[in-house]
Amino acid sequence: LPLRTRKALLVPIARNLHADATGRILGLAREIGLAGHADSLCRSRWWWRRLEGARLFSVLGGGSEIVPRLLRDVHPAVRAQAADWVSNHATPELVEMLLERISDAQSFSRFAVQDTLIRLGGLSVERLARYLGNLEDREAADALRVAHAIADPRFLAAALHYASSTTVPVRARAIALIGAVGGAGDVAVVSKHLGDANPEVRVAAARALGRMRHWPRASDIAALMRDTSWDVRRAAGLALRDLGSPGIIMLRKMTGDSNNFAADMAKQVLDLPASVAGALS
Amino acid sequence: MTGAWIDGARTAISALEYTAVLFFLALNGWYLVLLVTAGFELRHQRLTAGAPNDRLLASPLGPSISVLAAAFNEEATIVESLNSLFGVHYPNVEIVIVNDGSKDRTLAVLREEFDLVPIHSIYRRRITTKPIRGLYRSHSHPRLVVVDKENGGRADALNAGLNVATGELVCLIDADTLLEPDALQRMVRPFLDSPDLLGAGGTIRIANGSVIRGGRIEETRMPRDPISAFQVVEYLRAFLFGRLGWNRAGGNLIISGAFGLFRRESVLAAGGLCHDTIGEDFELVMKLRAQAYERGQPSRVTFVADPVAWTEAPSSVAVLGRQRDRWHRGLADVVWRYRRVLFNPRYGTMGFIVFPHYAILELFAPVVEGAGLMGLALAALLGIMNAPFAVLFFVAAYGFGAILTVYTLLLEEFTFRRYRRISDRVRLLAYALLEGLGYRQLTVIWRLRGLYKYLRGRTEWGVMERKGFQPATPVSVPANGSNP
Repeated sequence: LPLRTRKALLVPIARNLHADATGRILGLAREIGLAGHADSLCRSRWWWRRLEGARLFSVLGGGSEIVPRLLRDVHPAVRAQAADWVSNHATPELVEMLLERISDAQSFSRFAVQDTLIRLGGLSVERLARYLGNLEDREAADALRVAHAIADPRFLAAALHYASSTTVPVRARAIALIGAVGGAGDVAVVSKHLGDANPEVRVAAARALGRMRHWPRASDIAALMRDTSWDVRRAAGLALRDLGSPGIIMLRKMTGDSNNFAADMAKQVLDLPASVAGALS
Repeated sequence: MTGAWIDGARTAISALEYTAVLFFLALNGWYLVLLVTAGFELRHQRLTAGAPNDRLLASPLGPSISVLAAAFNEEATIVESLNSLFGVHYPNVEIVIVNDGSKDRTLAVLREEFDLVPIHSIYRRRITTKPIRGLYRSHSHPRLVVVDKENGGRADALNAGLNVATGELVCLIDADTLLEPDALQRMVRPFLDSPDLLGAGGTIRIANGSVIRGGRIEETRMPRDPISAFQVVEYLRAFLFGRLGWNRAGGNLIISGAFGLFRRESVLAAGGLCHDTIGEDFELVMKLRAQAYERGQPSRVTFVADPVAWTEAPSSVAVLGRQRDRWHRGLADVVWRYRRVLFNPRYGTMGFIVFPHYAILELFAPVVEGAGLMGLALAALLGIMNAPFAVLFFVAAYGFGAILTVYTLLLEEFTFRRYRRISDRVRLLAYALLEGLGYRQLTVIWRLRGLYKYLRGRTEWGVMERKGFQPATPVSVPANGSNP
């Protein structure tokens, strides 16, 4: 059969098979020469051929000898595809390579690397926690974003470290991460940022306290309902709602507040159907 | 005396014909350039897009999207359109429908079908709009928000939706637009590629004649009526090479109001859609790009061929005429508002290539074409027609255009191939070849009427009645709001 037909036959089947069957698919791909073809594509001087090769290996499996090299390819689409391939072929070395690319200069490739790290979840936690040790601001912001999506307690030390960063996105993401993985002992660090000079950080702090369900701080969050920033007021309202009964009581009280902005936001949050409130916060 | 008069007329008509021929050679020559660049762009997009990558785009890192639609008297189509929106494969999507003071049962239908509950109508009013009467959330579809407001027009309604929306990106659509399930996934891709992208437009195709079930196009078919069929050809040409070609020739200036994705903050910072123009979609893109140039920031607006939205096209001559007249008035209005951009070095390629194309070639094409046709008719009446010249005019104005259209159909055939039936493809080709014999001249009349009305200062939209999508049957419906 011509190569195109072989590809057209095997690729759609491979896409729809369970991961357990990938070994058999790869065997078949080797038998009919498709794996060899993908390998030669990956070695091509043309980026679109390398991309095609990486795509074939992502679907068929295999490619451990050649695809990792493509993580350092000059073309961002090829790097992104190689990162996607790693999600099914993760090794500690490949996770390290992904971490090197966590702040890739090209946006789509960066997105693919970060997304793969999130999908790897537990497999990437330890190395990511170590990587978070001492980073420049940009890398730290990207790494904290990934850590927040994975939300593993092993990131807590790094989150506490970056909570005092002078860079706003780093500080905000660190606080969000504390909200996701921290406990009662970390509430003080988060609460301190309810009065941060930057609204983005105040939003993160309010959300974090809501997520931690730390009701004793309800009155501190309620104070943010009078904030000058709409985003902060909204985050505070939703955080109060997340706190459960103490927060709801506080919101009801706020509906009669002398500050019209606070009262309006409280009414708006109380009016949200339960299914929506969860999704918004 | 009569001989001198005829000689004078012959000279005048000949000069007119020369001008028209040169104009069309320039216009179609430029279209040829766009066609070539579109070929390169299409190849690049298809190479990088690959198969829909659900895993990548169903990521928690993907930007959130609010889909905004203004509904005015849409009781016939609103449920079908919303069902299509609920079927869109995107993880973080919110749907905001703005009932713009409909006089029919649009709000009642929404309430009945989607179990709406009123919520407190306080929201962040960053753009001033007509008063909001109520804000609703759906119990059955928690991602659906309905804004009920006093009538203020499409731009006002979308601005109200912008105030309420929470997504990082906003997808502006018409209430009768049917989105393909992977349309948002594909449309988001350029925003992931370039964090500074201002907006992106997708392909609009005509649903008339196609089989629709559950808000989705089940089988793409050519419409039965010739008016809709000619529009299928026009839309294919406009999107498959026009918009695509502009990606590599200075960027797009028009994103169809039926399907466009923007950064919400950029649109809000620009003050939203303009109320007092009938070309609000064109004006929005012009405003976003011009402001970006003025601030020295990237001003890219791109077109993506893959994401497809389906819309109803007018199937009656009267409604189509009103629509085209309105589109041309919109074009004239926006060109006049942004005349400062024309050949202004501050606006880079937009000022020297893209805007002049619209301000000169597109705006005045009907004037030149109309004058050329009138000149031919006059020459025939006076018995002074120069036959070789008449042939040259038709070749320059229509023959060349038909070749470009056929080339576009070939692009469609070798790439997306939506029309599966041979009979539909044959009809598509036939309509492409017949377009220059009557239909094209009609559009000239409508566009001239639009220019005339614009000069007279008339800004009404005209009545756009709808019949609605018929489930599982080919549709044949009039009207559509947005310029493709």
